[in-house]
Amino acid sequence: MGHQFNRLIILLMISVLTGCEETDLTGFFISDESVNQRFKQSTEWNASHPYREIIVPSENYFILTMGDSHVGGTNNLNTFLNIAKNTNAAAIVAVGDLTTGNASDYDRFQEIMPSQDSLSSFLMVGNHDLWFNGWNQFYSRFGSSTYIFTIETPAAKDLFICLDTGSGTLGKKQMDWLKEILQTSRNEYRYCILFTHNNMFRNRHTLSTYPLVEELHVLIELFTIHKVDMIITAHDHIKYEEKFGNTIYITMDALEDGLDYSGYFKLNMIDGNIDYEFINF
Amino acid sequence: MNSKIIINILISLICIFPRINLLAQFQTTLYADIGQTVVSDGLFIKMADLTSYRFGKNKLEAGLQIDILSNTDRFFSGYNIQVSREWMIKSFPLETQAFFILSPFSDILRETNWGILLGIYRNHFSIKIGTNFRTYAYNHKAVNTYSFETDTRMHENWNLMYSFNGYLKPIDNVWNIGLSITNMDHFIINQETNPVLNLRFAYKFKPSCRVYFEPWYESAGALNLKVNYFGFFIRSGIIWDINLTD
Repeated sequence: MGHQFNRLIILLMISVLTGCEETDLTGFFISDESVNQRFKQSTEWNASHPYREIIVPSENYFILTMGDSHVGGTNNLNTFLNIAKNTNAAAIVAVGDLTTGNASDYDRFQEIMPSQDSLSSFLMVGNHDLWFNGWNQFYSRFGSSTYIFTIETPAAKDLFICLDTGSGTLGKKQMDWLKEILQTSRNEYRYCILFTHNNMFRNRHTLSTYPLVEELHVLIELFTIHKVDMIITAHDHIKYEEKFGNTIYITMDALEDGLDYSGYFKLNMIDGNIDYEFINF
Repeated sequence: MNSKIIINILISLICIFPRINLLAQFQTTLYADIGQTVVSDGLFIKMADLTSYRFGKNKLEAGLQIDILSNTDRFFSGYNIQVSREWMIKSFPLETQAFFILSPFSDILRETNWGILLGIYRNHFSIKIGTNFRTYAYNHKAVNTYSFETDTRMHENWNLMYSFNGYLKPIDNVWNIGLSITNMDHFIINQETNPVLNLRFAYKFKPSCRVYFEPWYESAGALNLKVNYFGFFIRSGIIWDINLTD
């Protein structure tokens, strides 16, 4: 009887770990690839795709940013993309958890995304995008998840850094890359905005994962010394903003369909100043 | 080696080596950590001392951590102080604990934590569970250098702390092997979603002296369901119980 019970428990565990189509529970114990491996592939992609420089004709421009669309559902994503196109956003940025990691959801997401010629878009992975070996799906469609882009106005140039925190850490190689970018390039730009999926600070009780405290120590110091103006994240699904030192830490509402608070984030550059607003559907 | 480092080492030695003639019934724990993490830029070596004074069911403990090898200029990298009291509910032993930790992790930033813990001890396992309140804060140097006068503190409140420990032999056995999952250590507390694993091998070579050896494995993103290696270190230490009333 005891052996039968044990076998039943083991069978149940195996079926839970392998059978769910929405949640990849195997990731609690083992991952298909490490953040260092993804970073290596991202840098290979960057080598053949130089970073994009967007030039805007005015001092005023805006970027629309979203995260946690979790396609399946695409109603809110369609609305977001239509607003971006119709209002002439300088770019859109999607900071991860765009899909569930399943190939069919990547297909759906890719079908909806407009071409880069019609709307500059910058994507990076979140943890959900990496489930079910989702990195291969992301990389084959969209390429790098660690890169920079710039926006140049007649008077100044702003730096935007996109990072892969889908595994809850930058990893050593990506961290070294970030340090180098900030040390060598930050001073050439007016503002520096950083996008990534994971939140930095834990403002409420949640099961969300944050960078380990040791990593956060390094990041906060780095953001301070190099005057990073804003960190824009998603992951926690509920908006939050707090300024610490000279850096504003933003968490966006999720864009996912069916939530009471679905929304996105508008980053405005107006007459040389940073302004922003959370917009809900 | 400049004079500042020498003074720092002397102060550390004074703190680390117990002044046994001054106090009765106390315990000192001295340990060293050697390892590497994603953010350590190579090998790190830390040493720490925790000295406690027990009077009846109460205990007062103070600790100090120093960085022997690290990627920062800090020498003293952690301080803690805690008070605890043992209770018996029928035959069930409990311990309550209140603590404060200061970690000056950079020239411009520090982290402080205070909190409370409840400990439960049985023959083959122990559990600690509690909550902490974390504050990251800029110091005066940062305020002057980077020109901000407000927004100098960031709080994280009501963080869950836990430590689940299982042992092969009864806790007081001469030798023991244990396994722990926890989000806290003496000078650092991770968020509740970042558990750390450690194995413990302990041997009591004298009634009042134990040595122990602990490999610690740190991972990131387990609760992202995308686990990733973060770091590994080995802790080896000695615990010395001194009871001068015997």
